[in-house]
Amino acid sequence: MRALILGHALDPTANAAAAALHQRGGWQVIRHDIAGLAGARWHQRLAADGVITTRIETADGDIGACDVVLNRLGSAQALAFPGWSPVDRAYGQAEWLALLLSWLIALGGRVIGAPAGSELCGPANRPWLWMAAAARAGLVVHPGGATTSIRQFPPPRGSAERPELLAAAASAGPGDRATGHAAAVVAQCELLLVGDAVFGGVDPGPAVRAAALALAAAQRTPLLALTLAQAVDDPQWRFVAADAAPVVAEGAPLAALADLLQARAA
Amino acid sequence: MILFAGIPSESPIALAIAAAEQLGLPHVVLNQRHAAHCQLRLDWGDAGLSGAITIGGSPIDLGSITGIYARMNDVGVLPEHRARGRAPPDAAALHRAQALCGLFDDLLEVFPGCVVNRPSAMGSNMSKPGQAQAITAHGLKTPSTLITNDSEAVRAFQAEHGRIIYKSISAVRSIVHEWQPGTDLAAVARLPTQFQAMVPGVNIRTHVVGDAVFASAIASDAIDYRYGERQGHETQMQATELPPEIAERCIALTRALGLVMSGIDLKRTPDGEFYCFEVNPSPAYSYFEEMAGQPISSTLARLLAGVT
Repeated sequence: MRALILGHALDPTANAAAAALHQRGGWQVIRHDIAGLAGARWHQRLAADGVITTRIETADGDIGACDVVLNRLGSAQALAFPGWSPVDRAYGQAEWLALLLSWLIALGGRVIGAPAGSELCGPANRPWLWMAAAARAGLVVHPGGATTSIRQFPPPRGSAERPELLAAAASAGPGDRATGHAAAVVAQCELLLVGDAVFGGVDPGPAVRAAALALAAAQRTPLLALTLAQAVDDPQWRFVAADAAPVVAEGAPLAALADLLQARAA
Repeated sequence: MILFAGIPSESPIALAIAAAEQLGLPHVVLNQRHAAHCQLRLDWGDAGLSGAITIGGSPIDLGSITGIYARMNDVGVLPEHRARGRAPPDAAALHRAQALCGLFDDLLEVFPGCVVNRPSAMGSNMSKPGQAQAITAHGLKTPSTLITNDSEAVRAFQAEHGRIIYKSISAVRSIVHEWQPGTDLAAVARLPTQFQAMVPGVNIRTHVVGDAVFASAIASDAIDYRYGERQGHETQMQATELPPEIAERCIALTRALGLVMSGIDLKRTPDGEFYCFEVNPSPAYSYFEEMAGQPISSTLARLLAGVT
């Protein structure tokens, strides 16, 4: 079987997954970063009825249709286009992003780390989108908020700063400012989801585990790290944040990732 | 109450506001040029989202808003945030506007009512061939397409299809041009380029607003009618009807892309087939409303107000 692992040469998850597949045997593992992809010869054909084929000729042969892909690609802005004007460079990056998205979308379920929206390895949701998605999936969301003026809309008493709930922090004038905030936390834990497996130092209970898996399924990402928290006088584990491109580089989570790659390739 | 957000003088926003006024639908306008003077609060609690917005007056509870139509611009390009002569831009005002607009974008994503359109739903516009896969999945044809950085493949594609055009595949707008055999292809080796079989027929710009479909047939001799008049071609437009199954596919495609409103570029061939070129998630519908007399803005205003 052929696995294509996309990502930076120093990406720990990409490196660990490649090593794990080599160790299992029976795999041809091909590595490429975004610059390597941009150096290949591309032919993508889309027929009127929707049949799409992509041939990507590299030194490793045609990598357009491997059995499985672990995608850890970052931004197309990593493509430098030396000697190009800033306008042309931005255009080149936008066009490469479009082509890479199209190819990865067409591969469907063979990609772990599938693109979402305009993100190559998504979903890279803003915190508010994750909160809404988590609530839809059945997780209880840790209370939080943001205000562009603490003078006009002050945060609740006793709340803690949570700057990431505001995309751009700013002073709102003398004695005023914009800020994000959240209810104070007494305990916090991390969950790591790899396929159907849930790893973490704390067991938040079956209902939370099921809702976490439902969130991953709704976001179409088999890899998901969740941050949960308990507020004062509340034993309930509540959703705080998520990361759809977590580091999975050792132990049982890495073995689960190798299993997942094997299952997707089958 | 409807919340309109953007530059009120921009035609699509202006028409929608005028329609709300004409229909007597309550509304407020967040003028992005005044963003530094508006305030917004969002909270997520056990009951979900709550919050308020201040637009030059008392706070408006977000719970009283039925729908939002937003056409927000990059804050940095607005005149009040540019340098004036030798004076640098007012950094504090720029940061205040960025904080407001950033949080407003978050509101657009999580507001429980009707939003035209949510920023995350704009994603398909970043990859036209990726969007084309959604188009064909909904039963609409797209032109035969090749994206390549191999000049020999371009020549073979032209030999296969005859007349072919080329254009961008990203959200960066490009003018559609016909590729003439013999033209230098050196640039193709530097960047993969999209070529498509030229489809003959009549362009039909279709706007979907909720469950409503407005199709406008465009008569133009230009390869790209959007730039026809600039190139000396006359453009005429009139309202037309789509076959019901094509209209239904346009509605289903719009929903599948997470959009409430879309501008879909179709072409009807001489033998009656329909091809779909792309879906615009932030359509400047006003041009088509004014040229073809389509009641798009009033339909949009009713939808946002929750009025049938």
